[in-house]
Amino acid sequence: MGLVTFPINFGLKFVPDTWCFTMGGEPSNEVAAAAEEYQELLRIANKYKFRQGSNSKKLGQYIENKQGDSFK
Amino acid sequence: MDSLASLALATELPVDELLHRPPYRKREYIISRKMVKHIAGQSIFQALVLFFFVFVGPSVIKEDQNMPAPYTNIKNGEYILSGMLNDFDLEPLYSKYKHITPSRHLSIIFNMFVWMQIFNMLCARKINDEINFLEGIHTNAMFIAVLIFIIGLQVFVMTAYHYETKISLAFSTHKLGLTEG
Repeated sequence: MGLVTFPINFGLKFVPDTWCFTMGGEPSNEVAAAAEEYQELLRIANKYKFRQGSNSKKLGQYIENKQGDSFK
Repeated sequence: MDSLASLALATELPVDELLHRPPYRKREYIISRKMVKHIAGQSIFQALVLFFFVFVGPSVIKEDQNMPAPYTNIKNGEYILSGMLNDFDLEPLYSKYKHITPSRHLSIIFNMFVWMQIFNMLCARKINDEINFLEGIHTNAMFIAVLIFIIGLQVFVMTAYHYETKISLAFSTHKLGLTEG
């Protein structure tokens, strides 16, 4: 019976998050401002995707992440 | 078990995809909609399953015929004896037998609950609705070790029993087979 947990969890992945309620109150203007900031961050990240313009890299102080498991 | 599961999940290594996640807002609530979805979904599912087997179990769970009386259902021998101490009219139900052996019915319910938690722990490795929740599991030896320990402990609790009394050596559970959960 415990194995039925798997299909239930699989099904839940396709349930839209918007169907669920939010807990706690957060001003909607802050949510909108954060979304805008995130888009700005994405724009910057895409612009300098390979950190070519990074001042740290120019100064030789930039540590290149390892490919793959960069956190190890 | 919950502590071990928390420990196992806390040892998950960070992945590069985390850097693509939007930053948390300063007043963002700690429980997101996605968490609510999974917590509520699993809770409702598990509650329904457990309530079903607690109340309807004595009509659908077959009794272990290899077990001699009084360790088996001495009432009709086919379906399991309800583990509820009294029925809704407060007439004694399992209370007459509880001094002989722990309820096999409630032992199955307990085993079922723990196995649902174990499998849900595996699903909880991925929190952004990724389909493959086993991705990268081989890189986390601690998670695998804790998982094996929890499963081993549960199997021991439910299957290791005193030969004469048929009572589990750990906790007061009835001896069960590996598929009864």
